Amino acid sequence: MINHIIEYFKIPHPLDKDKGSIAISDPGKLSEKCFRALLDDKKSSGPADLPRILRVLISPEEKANPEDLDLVKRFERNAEIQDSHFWGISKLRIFLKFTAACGVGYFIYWTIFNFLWFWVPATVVLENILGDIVTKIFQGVVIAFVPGLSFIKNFIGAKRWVRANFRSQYTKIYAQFGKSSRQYFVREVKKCLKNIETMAQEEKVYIEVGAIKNILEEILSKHEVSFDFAQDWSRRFEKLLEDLSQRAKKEVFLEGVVIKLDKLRNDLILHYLEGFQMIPLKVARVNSSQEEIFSLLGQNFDLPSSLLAEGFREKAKNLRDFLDETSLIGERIYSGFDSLKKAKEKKERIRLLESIEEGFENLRNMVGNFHFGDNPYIVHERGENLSDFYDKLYHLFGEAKLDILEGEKAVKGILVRRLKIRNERQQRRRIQELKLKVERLLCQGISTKKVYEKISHLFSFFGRDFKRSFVFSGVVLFTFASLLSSKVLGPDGVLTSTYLRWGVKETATQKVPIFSRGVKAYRFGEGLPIFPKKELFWQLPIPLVYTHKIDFTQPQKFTSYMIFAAPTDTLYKRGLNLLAGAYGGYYQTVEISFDFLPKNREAWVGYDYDGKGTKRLRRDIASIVDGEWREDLFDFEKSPLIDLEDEEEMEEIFSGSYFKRLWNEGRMKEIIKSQIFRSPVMTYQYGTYSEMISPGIDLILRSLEREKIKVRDSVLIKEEKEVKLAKIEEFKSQVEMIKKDALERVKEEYGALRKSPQEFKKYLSDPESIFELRGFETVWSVIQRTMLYQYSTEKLIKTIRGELGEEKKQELLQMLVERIQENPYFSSLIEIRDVEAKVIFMDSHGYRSLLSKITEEVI
Amino acid sequence: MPSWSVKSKHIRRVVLVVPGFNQGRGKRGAWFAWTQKTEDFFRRFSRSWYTVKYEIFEPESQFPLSDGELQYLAQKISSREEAYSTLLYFQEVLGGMGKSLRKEGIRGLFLYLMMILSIKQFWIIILLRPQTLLANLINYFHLKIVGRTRKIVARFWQRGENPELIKALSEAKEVYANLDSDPLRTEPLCKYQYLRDYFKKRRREEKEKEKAEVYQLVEEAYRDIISQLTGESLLLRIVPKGTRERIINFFHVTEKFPYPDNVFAVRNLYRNLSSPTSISQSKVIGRTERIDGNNLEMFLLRTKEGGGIVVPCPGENILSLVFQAETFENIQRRNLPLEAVLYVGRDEEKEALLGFNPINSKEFHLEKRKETGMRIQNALLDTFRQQDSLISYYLRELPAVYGKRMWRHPLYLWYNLVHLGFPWLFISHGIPAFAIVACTWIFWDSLWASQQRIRWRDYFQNLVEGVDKAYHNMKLRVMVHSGLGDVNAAIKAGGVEGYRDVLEKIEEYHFPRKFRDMVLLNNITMESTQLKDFQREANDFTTLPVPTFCYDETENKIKSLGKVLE
Repeated sequence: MINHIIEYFKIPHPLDKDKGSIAISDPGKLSEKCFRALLDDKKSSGPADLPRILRVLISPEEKANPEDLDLVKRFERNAEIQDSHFWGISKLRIFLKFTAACGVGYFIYWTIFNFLWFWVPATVVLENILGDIVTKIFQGVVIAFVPGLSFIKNFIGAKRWVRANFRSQYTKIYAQFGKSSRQYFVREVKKCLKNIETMAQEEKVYIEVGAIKNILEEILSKHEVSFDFAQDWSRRFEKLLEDLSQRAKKEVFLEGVVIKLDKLRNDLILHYLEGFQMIPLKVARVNSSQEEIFSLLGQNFDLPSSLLAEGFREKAKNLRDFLDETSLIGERIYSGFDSLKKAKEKKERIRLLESIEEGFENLRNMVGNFHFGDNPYIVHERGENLSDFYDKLYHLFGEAKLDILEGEKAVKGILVRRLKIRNERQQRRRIQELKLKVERLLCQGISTKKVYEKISHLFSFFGRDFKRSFVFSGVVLFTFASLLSSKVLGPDGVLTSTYLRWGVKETATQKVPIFSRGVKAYRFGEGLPIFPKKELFWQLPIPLVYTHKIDFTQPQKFTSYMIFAAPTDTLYKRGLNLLAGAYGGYYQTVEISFDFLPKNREAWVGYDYDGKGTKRLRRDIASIVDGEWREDLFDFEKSPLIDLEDEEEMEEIFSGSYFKRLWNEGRMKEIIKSQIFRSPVMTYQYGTYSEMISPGIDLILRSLEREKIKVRDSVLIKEEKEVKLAKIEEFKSQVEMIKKDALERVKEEYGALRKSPQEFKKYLSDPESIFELRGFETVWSVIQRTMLYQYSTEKLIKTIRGELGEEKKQELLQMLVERIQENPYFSSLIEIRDVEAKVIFMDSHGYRSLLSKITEEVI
Repeated sequence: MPSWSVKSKHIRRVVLVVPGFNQGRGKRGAWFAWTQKTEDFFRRFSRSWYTVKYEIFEPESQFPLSDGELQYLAQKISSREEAYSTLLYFQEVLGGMGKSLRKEGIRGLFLYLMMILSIKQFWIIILLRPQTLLANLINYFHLKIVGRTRKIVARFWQRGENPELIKALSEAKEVYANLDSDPLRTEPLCKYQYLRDYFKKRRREEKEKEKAEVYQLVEEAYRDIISQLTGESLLLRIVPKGTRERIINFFHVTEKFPYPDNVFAVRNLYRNLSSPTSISQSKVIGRTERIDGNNLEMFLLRTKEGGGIVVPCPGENILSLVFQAETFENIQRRNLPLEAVLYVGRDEEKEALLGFNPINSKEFHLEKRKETGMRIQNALLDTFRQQDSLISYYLRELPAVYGKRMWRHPLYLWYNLVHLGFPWLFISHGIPAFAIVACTWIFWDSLWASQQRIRWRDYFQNLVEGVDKAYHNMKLRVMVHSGLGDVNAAIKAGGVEGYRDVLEKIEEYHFPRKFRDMVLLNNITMESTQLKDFQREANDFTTLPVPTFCYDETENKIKSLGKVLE
């Protein structure tokens, strides 16, 4: 079955008489047809790939000419080169554009990464699903990189890339032109016989594969096409099939074998009669008979084929008539083109170009009078039309004429600008360009190749060959990564490297590895380095080698946080709080950042070998800032934030303006409510009396126990021991009494408070009645403490914000720095140069993302 | 890869011809042909390729089924299954508002999980329709099974040669004949029940395992026939009946398609044929007995004057979606030629029409062949034009069809209405609600969604190209169909009873509807006085692109094939 016909026309060279006849076809249409044929091949999964494409050379001659086939071969070879050149270039172009698009994608990635409104929720989602196992990198990849990639995939890169790779696959078909299908059959027949043999063994049926093999090999090795042989062979094969069919009545398995061999026989006969050509080439001459074109026709009626053959012969006759009729025009074009090559002036060039253009225009118009059109019975295909070919020539010459006439030419290049064609040299170049374009159209070989044309075919493997494309992409990626992985080091810098080695988790080293050597840039011709102190280091890229640069001259930074709940004081906040429900709530975070320099270089290099040194510092500083320093600040007896002796201040807190504020903001209610309500969120700042005191008392009791044991084990005299023990015992019983009393009182008071809800409601609604709470001694003291806590927090925030003066702030921070310097761990490692502090306000989502940041695990 | 070099297994499918009285439209009085149920047969398939043999058993009779009739039967069985699998494939790829609702449901469920985790609101499920996860699920599983038709490398039929089975069938035939005189069992259903019980008894009594299996097959055949008669028709099985089914249908969105029937109609073997049955199986197994997916059946009808008319009858299977899509898909996708099977009534006709063997060239007369070939081709071209215009019509109307399907969706309005609540979601849940948007960005395949229309168009484009290819690439096979010979003889004989006789035979021998129409148009109408008044309308009908024959414009009449053949 013929699905596609590729037609070639044998005509004299349209521009050069000496070159004789050439075979031409429209290159664009040729590739289009090859593409369609490839699609058909892809779809088919049934019988053998029969010759579905037919190549026909329409020759105006009467005698068979052996050189005809060479002409076709020459055209096809050049068309293939040109096509692979074209695809190579366009793929390279797409590849480069794709690389640029990756840049854009990265930008998007970056933007999303840095936009909190996207980043925060996405992080929250991932945390919800995956919990703590998500690292920042993973989050980055999933949340930000995916949209970035999808941008590249959907809008810029992959679609075109895939399409180009898909479309360019048709160039494979060129390789099949004139190729023998014998190899294909040998291979498939072998497979077929092997399958039959194994199946027969499984079924325990004896089948003589040798005989089948022999008869198949006979036709496969037969080189000349003979109808008698075909008949004879077919008869013998028929006999074999009949025998097998007879046997199959008992041995059912053989039925499947017979069916397959029958199909194989049909395919083989068809291919044999076509001379085992993958894509046969026929030559249609003026007087060739139908049988010459389709050898099967003589033996068998095939309406489509006979009509096709008739059509080809008709076309050959038409071609002869056409060439006879237009021989004069042809001559004129020859002479015109000859003189164009030698022409010197603009005027003369234009005149010649015009005459050639006119000649081709005439040819194009006259071709229409002869039938070179559709082929009957071929789906979706128009016959190759010579007029298209002449029209293209007409167009090329006309274009050149206009360019030279107007003195300028629109150029679509890297920079869009108009080229001027003014002087003699430029005109000559335009004519050269014209010649090149004509050569490309004629597909007879190109005389002068441009540089990129020489290398373009190197890229045509893209997409066609998966392995090579994959390797090439890998090489490109690796090269890019390698280019980016060099670092400049000053004399105070150190480069640490971590190697990825299979089996070895990671190793830290400061030694210069094989690939990385310091390179200094020297001025040309002189011995002096340009940057005398700088060296360039190069490493293998990530993930093979991870490098980290430490510069000891530059101060580094780490941060620490203290988190406090923020009051919901404004209407806006309250409104949002209402809508957000459990996700409401606001926080104030004191962020303290320390600038430091490493004290001991070697120790620091060991500590910071993987670039996580500052993170480790942050991890460890938390216990000082949020632990020791916090205790200092909120120990009201010693706190620098509050003075319990200052009566005025106390007055303000407990009954003055601060109290009013607390009341108005509803915080007072919260504090009072917290005495009968326990909410897990509140315990950090609020609590009942017993919750407050019992840990302290228990601590005292435990230390007394310890003291007792110490005394008992000491080397003192027995009496002394007993005295001391008695003292301790006495004290202990006193403390226990106090605890018991206190707890009893607590029970009593809290019970009383809970028992009368109406009273309690009154406390909540009336600020005056709050003083009645003084009667509940324990409750009141707790409320007082909580108020003090709130007050000092607020004061701390104010101080850090600098609202109470820079001095106070510095005083506080200095206190912290001293605490850190006292710590041997920090003082041995770093030297703090500067401390900065600020307050950040955040909602619950910000709070959660901060939490995930500061609780990150670093080891 | 060529189909002859793949590794394949050989598998057998039993078809039984059993006596009975078929009562459907166009098959009244025909007998039954039973085969294994589609689902049972294909469930035996594993992953590899298969060659399948349809082994057809019939009771001994004076006029056994001819080659053509067996071919017609086997073709019918396989084409019904192919049509079914095409239908399911269509439903899978293009059905359900033109997109795979099931896949959407799976994605929806995933998003729901995200929502639960991020904003902890379960009611949002109404926005997502995760129930579409179940859409088309049953059809999907059916397709998994019937889709194995694609794994068949070659199919052919053969006359069954198991003497035990033939004996059992002959026994059934005798029992059935005896039941005719039984006044208690005049109802056909009672007869089948009796036969079923009879063979059940035989099976139980039988000690030999092989014989018992044979009786079991016959029993099974009658059981299926009874269930076909007492059960619901295909239409009733598709349409929801109760509230429960209605609700399920509402949520499943897509229609369900039950497996095709496994009971077919064949010629009534009691009939005395006017001409003897010819049985000539080819020497090579399965060469002329092939069953192809890419096939078109034609009947050579004799006119009263003795001329021949070729009537192509493209499948009129209830399951073929619009127009025998599977045939043209096979032609286009797999690049196969169209297998045209021409049924003729007698051996002589077949000989005149020749075997198209390129090697034995001496057997036929070239000139004769050429003209015959052209005539057959002409008839085919008319059929193709009809198919072509039908498909083109669908292709043209596609956007409207697509839009309508969209509109038809039961949740169409509700879905949009409910999305109005989305802003509230963001207000009440703050930023986490955006997490859902983020997930949508990441997991939603918008490209696939945007290509719905393209997929529809491609599907039709494929079919159009298949028809185009079939125009010029076909292989002809001629087979003798005894029933056709009988009908042709009856037409020729004419007479007073002719009209009723021919129609009765057409029903009993179970011919396609198009064939019956052509018989009516070209033979009987000549007799009927009433129809003469409407001759003009009748002529219009014949000139429409209905399956036809050679039409000579100069003589303005239908030209028969008769002269060429005799």
